[in-house]
Amino acid sequence: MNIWTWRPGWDPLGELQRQVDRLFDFTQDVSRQFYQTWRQFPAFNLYEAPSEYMLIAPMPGIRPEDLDVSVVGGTLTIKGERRRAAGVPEEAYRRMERWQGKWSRTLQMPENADNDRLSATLDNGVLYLRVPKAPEGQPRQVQVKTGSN
Amino acid sequence: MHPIHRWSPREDGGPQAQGGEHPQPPAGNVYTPPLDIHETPEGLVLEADLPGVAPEHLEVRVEQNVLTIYGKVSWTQLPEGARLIYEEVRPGDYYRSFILSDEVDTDRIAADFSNGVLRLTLPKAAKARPRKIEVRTSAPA
Repeated sequence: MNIWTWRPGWDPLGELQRQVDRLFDFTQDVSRQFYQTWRQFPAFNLYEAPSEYMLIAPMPGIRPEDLDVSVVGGTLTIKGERRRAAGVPEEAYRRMERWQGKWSRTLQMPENADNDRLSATLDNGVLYLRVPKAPEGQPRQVQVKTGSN
Repeated sequence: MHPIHRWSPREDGGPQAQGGEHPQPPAGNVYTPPLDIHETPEGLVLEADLPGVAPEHLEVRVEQNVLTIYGKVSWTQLPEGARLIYEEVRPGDYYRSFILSDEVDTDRIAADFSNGVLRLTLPKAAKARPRKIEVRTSAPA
């Protein structure tokens, strides 16, 4: 299990991704599919907006009932299981490129994330998870007083 | 059911049915959507992952016996001006095209799209289904 922690400037997977990008040509290249199986499911991106954080994770075929989102302490876990259509015997498959199985991703939330107000939406097979920032996290001006004399 | 564009050449070079221009692979980041294909008694079922594509931006075309899938991706709920702080996936459109065997009855292809998964049913033409042929014997001369 990997726990990803937000730290400014730390981007280990991005660096690895850039290195691998140089090995493969990623536009319309079938070999990329094999590289994708190395990755965890689902892949996700993190964004910061002025008043909230957002996690975006494409997860095709996942419905709300297939998904489990929980926050314990400051740790967010999203997990579920992706299954193929029921009732189809394995021998009937001519091609199986889509990943299936149990999956789980874990993430350490930043200090100023108000995890109790987390909300999640599934839209066209993409998970959008929003966490507002706690008000104390907003910068506030501090008056600097000068001492007399 | 998701609409399927059917294009067929006309001798008079007249307007093409639905669809418009011949589809070209899109520019920019493009992914080949992974797919599963399985057989059923009626034909084939194809399931492709196209997360982030809205139904109105998905195009499925059948041109003679070439099937083309093109999905335009947009992460609609990403707020404007949000700053990317960690990236594992870059959004990109999906494109895949392939040749269907003559067994497939292209007029009866059906498409369903939900939760980012496209499900295509490709029925076998009646003549492609195995059928028993009566062998008549004639008396030896």
